[in-house]
Amino acid sequence: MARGEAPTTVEAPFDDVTVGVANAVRELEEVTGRRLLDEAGRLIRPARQGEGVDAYVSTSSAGGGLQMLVMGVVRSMTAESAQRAALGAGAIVMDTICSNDRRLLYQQIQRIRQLRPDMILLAGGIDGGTVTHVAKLAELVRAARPTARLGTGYRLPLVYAGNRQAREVVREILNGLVDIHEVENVRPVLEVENLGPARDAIHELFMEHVMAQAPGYDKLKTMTDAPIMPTPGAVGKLVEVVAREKGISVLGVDIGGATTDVFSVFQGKFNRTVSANLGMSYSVGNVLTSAGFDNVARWSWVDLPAVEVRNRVKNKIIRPTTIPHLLEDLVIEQALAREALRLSLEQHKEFATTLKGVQIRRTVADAFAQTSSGQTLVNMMELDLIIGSGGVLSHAPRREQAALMMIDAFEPLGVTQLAVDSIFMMPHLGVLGEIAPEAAMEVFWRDCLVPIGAVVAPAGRVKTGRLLLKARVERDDGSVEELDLVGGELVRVELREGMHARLTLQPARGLNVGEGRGRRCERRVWGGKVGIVFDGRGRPIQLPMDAAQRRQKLLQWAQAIGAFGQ
Amino acid sequence: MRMPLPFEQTARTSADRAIHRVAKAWGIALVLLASESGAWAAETQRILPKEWNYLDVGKLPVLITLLLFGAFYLYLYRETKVGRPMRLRRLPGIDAIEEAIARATEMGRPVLFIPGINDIDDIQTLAGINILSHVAYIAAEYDTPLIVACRRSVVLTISEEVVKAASLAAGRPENYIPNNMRYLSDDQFAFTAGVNGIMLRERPASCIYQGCFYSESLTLAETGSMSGAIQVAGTANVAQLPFFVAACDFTLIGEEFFAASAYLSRDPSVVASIEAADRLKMVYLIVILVGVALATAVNLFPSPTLMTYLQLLKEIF
Repeated sequence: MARGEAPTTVEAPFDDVTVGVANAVRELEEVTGRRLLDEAGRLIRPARQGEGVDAYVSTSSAGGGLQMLVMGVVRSMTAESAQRAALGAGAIVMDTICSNDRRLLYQQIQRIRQLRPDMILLAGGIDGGTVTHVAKLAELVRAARPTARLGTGYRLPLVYAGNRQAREVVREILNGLVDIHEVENVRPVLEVENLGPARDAIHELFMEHVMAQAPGYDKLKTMTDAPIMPTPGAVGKLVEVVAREKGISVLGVDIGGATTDVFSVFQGKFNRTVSANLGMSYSVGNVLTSAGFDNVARWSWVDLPAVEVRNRVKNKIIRPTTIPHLLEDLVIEQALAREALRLSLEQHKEFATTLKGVQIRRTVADAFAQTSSGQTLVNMMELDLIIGSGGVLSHAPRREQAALMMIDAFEPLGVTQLAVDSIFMMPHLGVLGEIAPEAAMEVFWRDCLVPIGAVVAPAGRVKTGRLLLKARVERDDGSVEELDLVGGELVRVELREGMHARLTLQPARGLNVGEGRGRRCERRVWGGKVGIVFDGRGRPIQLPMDAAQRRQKLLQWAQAIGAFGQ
Repeated sequence: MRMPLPFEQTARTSADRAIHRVAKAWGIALVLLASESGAWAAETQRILPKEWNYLDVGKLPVLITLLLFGAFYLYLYRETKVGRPMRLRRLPGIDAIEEAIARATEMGRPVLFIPGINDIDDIQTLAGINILSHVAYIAAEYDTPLIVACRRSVVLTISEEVVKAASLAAGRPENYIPNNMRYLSDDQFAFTAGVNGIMLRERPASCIYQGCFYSESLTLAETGSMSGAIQVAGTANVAQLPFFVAACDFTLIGEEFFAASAYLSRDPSVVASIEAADRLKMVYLIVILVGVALATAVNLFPSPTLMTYLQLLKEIF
């Protein structure tokens, strides 16, 4: 597995993305010693006698990725479904306009004008449902006369994924103003969500309209063996395939400089959210503001005055491409990362829900437990695998630090495997999966994922010093280890990469590790750079109130899993 | 043979004597009965002095309840007014109302509201109309038609005004449609048949029943459920609750129905009254627990002092 990278050439003086692609491929040639480009700088395809490639795939996030405006009738129903379709296709949702967004008409029109999206997704009404509300939304677009962000002289693409009966009306209102593409309704009935057709249309239009406006993309399109996809869309596709093939629940997170993407598959349902203002460089100031100083400081085991922490965060905002040089910088960065990840997951939980507005069948037994629709799908006990991606996780000085960051931020319950994306290969594997799914899966498990290990965390009331769990670890090589996990402790058990182990867990009364309270649980886990982490810190993690004691405890935990060496 | 003994003779501690003085001041004389076996029982004799004629000691518990409630209410009202955060439990039934209206909006169908079948002099009808105001406001915000079906003419008139005002407050006065405010019949089952007709002909996407309902509850809720509507019910008629719970998506049970007004209005006076009632219930819960403990203790360790306390507790509450 080799990697080559080169700066983008989408802007002047090159104005051609393929120049950058050729530069990156040349680097690959140097690394692998295999000739991939011909004299004219084109990829040699198909592969022949030790040179060239069999397939070339590409993803794009040029110009900030695909930016979309989403419209729907009710925020929590068709607008939310439309948002899910756009996010699932890898778009950044700039705004969601709906009948109940509490903005006045002129404000909505003004907003559409200001945004200059790459594409609009208009949904609303079930099939045979409201036409008037959809017509009103179309009239807003008409009044705003939006223009595209990239290129001139072409009409803004609008995907219509709403009430079938309103198609004619929408066509009449928007005729000649935007390029309308009609697809099946995202909510044909309120009880069903149908996101596939809208997502496919967005991918198609991304290629046809949006990418066509970017310099050099017409050439790039001819080079690829599968359609170019927005980068987050490709990651989402891969996460979805992994979850489906293995029959597991997956949580993927990509923490970038400006945004954090969270992907999840629970109960077979894929969801993606973009936390637009939570990132580790450009948005790091916002992480501090959103989480609050105290929440960030609680993860730092170095004693730094508040002003010092703030100064370091501001330095990062001013120089976003710098990396930590001192241990204190690293501790602060990882504290910020924990909070960014925690907040992103919170936002994701609110978005990844069951459908709202569906009829519920009840019995008299439900009298005192009337759960409403729109419950979150994210169930940390059900979660099988967490995949971390992004510099702060993938390139942490030690994998133990990445493990600790993910455990602290996501607070998994029961038995959960941890892994990080080695060199941000997931987007490419997502596209490769379209033409060679088996190859994509093999590369994903063998080279893309860096297994970190597993975490075992009992759920329930945890008291410091109380016995929480009796565990027996039977490794494939025949070695056996037994341990008692006590409240407030973090214990690491070695399980090397490539090895598997069978865990037999007997939780104390009232605690649950996946089979119910006090019930014995057996799981098979794979090892990794860290092995198995037994987390007895409770959920939410109980940190001492006193600052000195808290620092002491954090250091103790970090040492327990060797996050900063001994 | 039991031998009555005046309490003064059995009072051994200063605390016992103090309690006796308080009891006497309220016109209660405690008399302990000692049996030959040595077991104790107690009873009270009312010795009302002349100057206490205006007080019916038999209704002392009512007076104490009133005073306690008044004290709690005044305290909480003052606190809430000066900015103490209101602590109201989430009511899924009320939260579901917005979801029900949103569903109707997406489906392009109306919302049906029934403020019970009793007249305006019923407190449940008043509570239902309070919720109607909230429903009308949200329906106007979503620009969704609202049908109100009434059994009593006075309720209709008031409902009309409430819907008109709520639509105006939401900035959509046109959402008040006079034809959608319907008086059906004063007869219970003619009214029920009329509502069922609306459900089947106009197929509302959401049916909201808030008020006093009797045997028609199941007929209404079943028809609504069969027509595929989301249904939110609320009534204080305990006998009708199982039908609503089984056939509706959400049900406001008993006091939740009255608490809904406080939940929706966030008016300090209404919130304070709900919280005061809750605190009063807490007091009674504690009194019951203390009473049970005392009665058990008297049974296990017969003592004149414990007997006196128990009897006094019975008298006061």
